[in-house]
Amino acid sequence: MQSTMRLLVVEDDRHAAEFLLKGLKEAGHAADHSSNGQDGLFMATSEHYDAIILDRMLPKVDGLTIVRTLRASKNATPVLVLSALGEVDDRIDGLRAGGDDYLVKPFAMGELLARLDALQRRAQPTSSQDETVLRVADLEINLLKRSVKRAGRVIDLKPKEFVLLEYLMRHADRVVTRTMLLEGVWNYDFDPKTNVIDVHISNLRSKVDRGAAVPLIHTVRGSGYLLGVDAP
Amino acid sequence: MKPWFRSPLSQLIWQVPLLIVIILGLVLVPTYEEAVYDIKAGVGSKIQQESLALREAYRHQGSAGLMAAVEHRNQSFDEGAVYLMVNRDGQKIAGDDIEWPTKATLVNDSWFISPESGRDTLVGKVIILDDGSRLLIAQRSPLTKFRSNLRLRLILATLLAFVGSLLLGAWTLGRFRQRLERIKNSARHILSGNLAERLQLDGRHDELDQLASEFNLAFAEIEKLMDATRHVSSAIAHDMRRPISALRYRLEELSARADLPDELRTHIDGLLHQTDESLNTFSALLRLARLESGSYGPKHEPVDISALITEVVDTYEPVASAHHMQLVSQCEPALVMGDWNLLFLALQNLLDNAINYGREKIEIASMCAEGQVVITVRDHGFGVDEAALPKLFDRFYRGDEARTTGGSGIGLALVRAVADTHGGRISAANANPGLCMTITLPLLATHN
Repeated sequence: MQSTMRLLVVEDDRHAAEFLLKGLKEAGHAADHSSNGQDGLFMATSEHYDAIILDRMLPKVDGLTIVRTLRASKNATPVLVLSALGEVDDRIDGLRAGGDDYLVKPFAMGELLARLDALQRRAQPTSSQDETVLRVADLEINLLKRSVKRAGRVIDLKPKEFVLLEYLMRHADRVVTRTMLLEGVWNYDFDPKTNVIDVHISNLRSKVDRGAAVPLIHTVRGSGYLLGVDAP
Repeated sequence: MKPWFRSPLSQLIWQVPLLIVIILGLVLVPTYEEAVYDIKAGVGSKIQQESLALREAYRHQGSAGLMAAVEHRNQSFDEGAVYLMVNRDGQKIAGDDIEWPTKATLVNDSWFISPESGRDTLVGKVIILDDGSRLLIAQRSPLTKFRSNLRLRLILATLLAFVGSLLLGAWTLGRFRQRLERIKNSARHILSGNLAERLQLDGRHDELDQLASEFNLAFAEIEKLMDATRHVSSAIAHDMRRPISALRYRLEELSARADLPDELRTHIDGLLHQTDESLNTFSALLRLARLESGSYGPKHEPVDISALITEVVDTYEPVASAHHMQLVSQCEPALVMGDWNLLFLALQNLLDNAINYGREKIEIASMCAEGQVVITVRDHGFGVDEAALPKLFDRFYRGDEARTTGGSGIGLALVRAVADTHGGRISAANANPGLCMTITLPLLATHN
């Protein structure tokens, strides 16, 4: 379900780097590694990568400087910033510098892969943000009318369920993690001590998949959810 | 706060003029009395001398001699002196052209004071001679004129001193107060998060400048400490989280191994979960430290509390339903100055708790009163031991088993820190049944 990517990992923490490289390799990606900012910047500018995984605090040249330098030289390679700093303003700093996504360390491999996947899809020009109707199989949502239909049957959704479904459909056939949903649908990085996401997904699923021959919303064990015809 | 006029400096404004008036009074009133006494004594002794001299003239030269002496004196240029000699029938024999003053009694050697037309007074003595004729020796006394002139001057001078010193004091104090106000506002501005700024000195090197530069030293120290806190926070985030992170990476790698027996995998997944819990506690602690040290730098923008509550309810209503609870809200529109994300975090923590420890129904409400918005989150659970209520917001509080199972013990401390950051308060009370959490925030403005 995931295509092979050529990746650059700039990470000085040995444990994190090992974990990353091993996990990426197992997922079928090819990854180069640099353990300092200077070499990392050099590799990022001299080679072509599908995406760059960049630690924020690096020896010699720090992560945000690398992103800024790349963006200043019109290099649009998707960058995923890794950081031990997880506050909202740290995240905003990272994204403002030109990073495409921000992930707090330590992270689960499933989380990282899902985000890389989303980054790569976003980088492809075919998926347009301007579409007003999104379709997956016989499920159709109209973003202007805020209406949902499955096989011609109108489905009545609450506002949060609608936004949730829109997010899942924009990421159709890809794994979407709970953290991605919290960030994408709720705009917060909060850590609920109740199963907020699961409950909303469960409600959405009962409305969308009820009475349908083929379920569209699937649970991916240990990672999150996926909307698509084929189960992962 | 005490009203401005109760401050010791403001009291100086009227105390100093009052003191000046009292001192002036203490010095001038005796002086005035002395002068009056001198004048009186001067007039008296002059009249006494004249009467002696005229008596002498009468004894030696008789009536004619006395008349001549009186006439002679009348011709002289002593304008203040008045003489009148009348016969037994009261007809004038010699002297000035005046009526016999009514106050001058017909008793030998008696003194009189008689007001004259105009502002003078006549002070004098009556002498009755052997032949029944009477002699009046008097002086036009400057006393009345002196008295009224001097009194006017004294009152004017005192009034001038009083008003002058009052105005000067008010002006000086006004300027002083202005500079103090400036220092106060700057200090408040600095403490509200602009730690890099300093108080401006006037360059006069006076007391206020010295005070301001002392404050600046203190601010520099605070800034240094805050920087250190920030540095330590990020150092902890980066360095101390590292070993735990490394542990987590290893555990996940292990768990991903295909050749792992199921029993072991479950075990490792449990360890992974525990590691994540500690990491979460760690993040929450760091966030709390940053909030409490004021280095979080929360946004200050208008937040609509009713919109916030709507968002929270939209998010948690399905969760409550899934836990067989009803979530009801009732809110008044209210704007506060603050950080939407932090306020959401606070309400989210309260609702997580209410759902985990409540039953049947959760009520969330906001209402405005006296420039504040009061947000309440109430569950219908078992409540909390009365004695434990004030400790609920302490970090790592573990007094009540039921309420802290599984939690990090930081959630409610975070809620309090968020309330503090917004200049608000939080309190907990048993609502029988259930627990009622109340957050009070200062209001920015009320809609319509």
